[in-house]
Amino acid sequence: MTSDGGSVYVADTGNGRIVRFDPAGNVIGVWAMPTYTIVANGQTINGRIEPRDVAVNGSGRVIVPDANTQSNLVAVLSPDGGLQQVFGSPASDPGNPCALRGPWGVAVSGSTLYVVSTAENQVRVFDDGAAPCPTVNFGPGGGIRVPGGPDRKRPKIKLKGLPKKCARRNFTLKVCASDDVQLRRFKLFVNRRKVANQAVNKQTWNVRVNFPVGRVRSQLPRGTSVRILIEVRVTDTAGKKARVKRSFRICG
Amino acid sequence: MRRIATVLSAGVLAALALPGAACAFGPVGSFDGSGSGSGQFNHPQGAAASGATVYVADTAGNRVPFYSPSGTFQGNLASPPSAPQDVAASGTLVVAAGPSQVARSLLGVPLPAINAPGASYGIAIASGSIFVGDAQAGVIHKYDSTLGTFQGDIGGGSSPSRRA
Repeated sequence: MTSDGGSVYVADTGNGRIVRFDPAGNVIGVWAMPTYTIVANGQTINGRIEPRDVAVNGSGRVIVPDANTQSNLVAVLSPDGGLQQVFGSPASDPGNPCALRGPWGVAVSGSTLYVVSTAENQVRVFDDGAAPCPTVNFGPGGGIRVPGGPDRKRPKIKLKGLPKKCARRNFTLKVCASDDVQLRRFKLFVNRRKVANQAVNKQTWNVRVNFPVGRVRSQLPRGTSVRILIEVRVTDTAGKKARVKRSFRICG
Repeated sequence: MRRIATVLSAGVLAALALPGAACAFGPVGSFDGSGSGSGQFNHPQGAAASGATVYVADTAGNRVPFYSPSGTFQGNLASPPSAPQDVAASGTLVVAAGPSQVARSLLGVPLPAINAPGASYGIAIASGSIFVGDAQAGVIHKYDSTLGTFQGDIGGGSSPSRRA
């Protein structure tokens, strides 16, 4: 658990996620934890980072130690949920300067990261200006990826609320993403002009857009209409993109 | 499909700037090790860094030692709770200690403890409040950081977490 001064980040171990709250208790961000496959000593272990603690640095990177004692990993996630770095050692790895044993606590001060390596009774010190930790050896066929990794399909989105005929009143366009998608960016174009380009830092995410039809309609001569083209583009945390185009008319 | 969670107004949104490019962490050292001597650890579990001081919740050692950023032992927190689990520092220093009380101190002077219910395994300070993760109930208890008075609960899911 940690704070950036204005909000609180909670390591939700049982649900496998980091949740960010504002001081009033509203959820303002969720980070899903990466899943991994470790192949060592003839065994294959499939697991997920179980956040034991969390730290956040000045650029919003979220640092998570894994409570699972068979992995000994620390994951570094970007503000939008992407996996930026993982270090530690899930198996015996002599000579690895970043090998850890039970990393259960983390703290950040400036560019320095302190990792409490519980089982070896040490506080290990890392810095993002130092030579980076070596790539983690997950074994043959092993690896780590964030939910919605490269093998997933494109995100599915639907637009709801568009007028079927002429729009004569203000309406709300609802952009809905399927439950298994973790989106990181949303763009909205109206008549090919970009009017929204927003980073999304939530696992569960949908968006609602208010269209001021009345304001446009008041400028239209009676008996005329104008066609409005809507395009929504989204990108999920795996970099997969999807777009939906629709149109409607505003009648004077 | 899920419920709608965010409202935008078309035409008035500006793009949000993302932080700069990330660097990767690399090792620069470590401090202390097994033992019961000054500054040594016995099953430490949590840490906090505030200014030029690093605090460690040394759980089985029943103490909260603090260090310089380079790892020089500077002392132990006076009157620590037994089995400290996590620590947070932002002016006030607070220590979560499982089923024990949440200890508070300011400039090394102990303040009245908070009698938090459940099992306090995580702790943070933000916006003048202390947030205590109750892993037993799966909620966050919120207290005024100056007075220690209860301000309400946050969350309450069906899956209690170790550091909820």
